[in-house]
Amino acid sequence: MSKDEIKLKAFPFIEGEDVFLCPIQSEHAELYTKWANHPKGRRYSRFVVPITIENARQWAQSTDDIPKNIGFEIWYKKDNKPIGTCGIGDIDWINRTAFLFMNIGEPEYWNKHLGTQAGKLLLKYAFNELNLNRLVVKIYEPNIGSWKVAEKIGFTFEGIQKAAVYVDGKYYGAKAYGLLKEDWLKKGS
Amino acid sequence: MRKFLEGKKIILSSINLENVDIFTKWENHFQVRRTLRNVIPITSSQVKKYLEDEKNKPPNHLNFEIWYKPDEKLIGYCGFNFIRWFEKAAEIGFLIGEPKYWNKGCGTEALFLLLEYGFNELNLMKMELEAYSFNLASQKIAEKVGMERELVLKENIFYNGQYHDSFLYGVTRDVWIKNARELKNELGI
Repeated sequence: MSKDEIKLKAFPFIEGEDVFLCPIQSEHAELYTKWANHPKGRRYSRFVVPITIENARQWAQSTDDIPKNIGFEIWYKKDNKPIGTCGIGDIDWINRTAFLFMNIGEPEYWNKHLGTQAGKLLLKYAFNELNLNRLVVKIYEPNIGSWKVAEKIGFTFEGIQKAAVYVDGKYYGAKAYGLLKEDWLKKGS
Repeated sequence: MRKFLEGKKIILSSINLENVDIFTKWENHFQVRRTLRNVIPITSSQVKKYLEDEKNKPPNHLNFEIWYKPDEKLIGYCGFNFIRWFEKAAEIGFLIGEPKYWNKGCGTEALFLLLEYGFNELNLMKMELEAYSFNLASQKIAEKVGMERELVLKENIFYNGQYHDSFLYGVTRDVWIKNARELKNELGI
């Protein structure tokens, strides 16, 4: 591990088989900035405007008692290092809906099914602990890896939002997926 | 170990902010946080800010570190979560953050010392504690130190996908004074 990585602290909050989810911390803002600006990763995560350390620090410091967003760091147990972020965003506590977001920031950890694992942990957290009723994800068409994850963890395809995003000179659609708690329970949590 | 109150197996000492990472670990750890019903991840800066508030005189809340004497190890914390100075009443709580030290009588001793301190030194008239119906250990401990179940709060807690009752335990100064000496002997403090 590099000298910088050794300084990172993990406070495991949810445990999975190969990963655990830890709270987002403003002390790790440099890492979030690196992932947000990564030339390969940001095409799919759609960070068109580079994120500065200040932006990342602000995002990590939630001051509300009742949060609108809850973010986690994904740590890969075997290498004991953080590999990305994920979480529940835009929480509407009255209608009990929220968005799921996920970004495996370190490319060497892509294609290892870690997104699927983290996604399943997030679903259990959102339905069983936050008591939410409906989750949504919006995935841009070129991002095939992510639709596969959404479908694997049980999301239902709801429709395409045409020309929702402009990537590398072309417009692409966004696939909208939704999942209700009752359907998640039926599918066997 | 900065001794403030002493029992047989444990001592209570004032909070040392240098231990903030240990407290943060307990607040987030999946095995421990269910007893606190922490649903939102907590960062070490939030824990630090909360504990720094205790410098106010008089404080709204006041906590102590629990140290296990034989191993000279920090195993938990306890204290007054919410002090109502006008009524001379307080809500108390405790956490043994290291699961290895569960079932050793540490919680019982810590709670006893806290009650003794609250009545004899803070000049309180009443203390209360909320125990979740799925946390049998906390109920047993409350009863062992002479607290009485005053209220059932039905379906008060959402945990692990279901609603659970919680119980409000209380003890008044009169009852405490009557029972304290006998209790102290029984517990061997």
